[in-house]
Amino acid sequence: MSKVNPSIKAVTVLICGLFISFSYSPYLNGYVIITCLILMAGSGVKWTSAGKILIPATLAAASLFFSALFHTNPDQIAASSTPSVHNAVQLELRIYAYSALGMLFALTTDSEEFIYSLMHQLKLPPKFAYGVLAAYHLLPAMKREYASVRLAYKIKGYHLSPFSLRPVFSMLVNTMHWSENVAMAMESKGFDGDGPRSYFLIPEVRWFDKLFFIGYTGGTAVLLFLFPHFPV
Amino acid sequence: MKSTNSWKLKDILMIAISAMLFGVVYLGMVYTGSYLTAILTPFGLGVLGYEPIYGIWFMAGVYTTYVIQKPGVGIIAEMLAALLEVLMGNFFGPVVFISGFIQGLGSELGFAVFKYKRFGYSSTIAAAVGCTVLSFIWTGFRSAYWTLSPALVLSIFLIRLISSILFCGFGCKLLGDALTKAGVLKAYALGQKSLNPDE
Repeated sequence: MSKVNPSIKAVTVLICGLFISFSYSPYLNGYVIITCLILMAGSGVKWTSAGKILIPATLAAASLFFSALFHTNPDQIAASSTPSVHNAVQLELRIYAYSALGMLFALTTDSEEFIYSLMHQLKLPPKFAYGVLAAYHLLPAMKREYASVRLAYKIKGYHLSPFSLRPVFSMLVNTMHWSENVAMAMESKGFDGDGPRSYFLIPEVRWFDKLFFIGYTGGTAVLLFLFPHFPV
Repeated sequence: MKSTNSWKLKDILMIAISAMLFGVVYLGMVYTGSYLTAILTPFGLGVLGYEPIYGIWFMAGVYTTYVIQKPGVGIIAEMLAALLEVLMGNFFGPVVFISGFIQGLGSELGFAVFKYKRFGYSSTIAAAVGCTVLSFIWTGFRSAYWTLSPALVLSIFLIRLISSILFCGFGCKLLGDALTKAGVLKAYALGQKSLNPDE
């Protein structure tokens, strides 16, 4: 899976995610979950990192499960004798299907390759692509800075509630400096977002990318039309 | 207001880094949300857990639009935020592009009500409401809210609206004004207005 073109993969995952939103079928959700797991297993994903993603997904799924269990609107799902249980299961599976698609993408895609591919396949202007990449690589510095700004306020004796905007203000000042400095650094290295440029890596769309796209969205679409509703 | 529509690298970086920052802030608060969700889940109210901090999602769009004051900034900011989310490994994956677009559109609608000419509390609050309404329709669609009881759905909407108005309607405006006072926004429309107040 990590060989599939990232843009194609993203579009496929996006379309399948939309299909799930349109459907109300546990079969479709189950199919998506199982195929994603198989594809992940086939591409040698680290299961510990999958587990890390699954914790928040499970929390989200559980919260929706219980909400649906206790607060289902019975008028909408009248066909079943136990509407709330059905609805709860269906909604929980749906969250897992979303996160299976998300994991499949996140764990088999290199972020830089994804950005390169967005530039070539989806025509993202290089200015935006490299801007986002620069911001992305600032993340560790930003986390460190945010923690130390909060600490600095505590040292000065401010009581900070988790919702306080004070450290955000200090961080935004830093943001202004960072964006100016990074822009200057990039331009001084000869970065020009508008002119033609050379690329280190040009991702291509190959036959198996097309095959994956057609096969996966096609399979999901067939299931969507075969089982559009919850079986009772 | 400048009428040029070309994007400067510096502006793009400012938007992307701000979006990243709000992402970090959100991550800092996500524990609060998870904690709330975990407590509320056994009562069947777990879906409300993240709603109090939902407004932070919209801040990137509203804040950058308030600072740069150009049409389209909100959508770009939210899309870049979504792209960063995907890079960071959000478990919803590329579907968040659509969420980002919808939230950005909500913010744009709020500012468009005032034709991108008046930038005050009224416009930031309108943007906050726009984000809430559009994102509510989208998450409602994705999580099949129509199968849940109307009272629960209404409380989801109200809590999100309050959060959005507090964080975006007031928070973004206050942050923007404080930064203007600090003098770091001179390169942007918001900071320039404070230099010649007769405008």
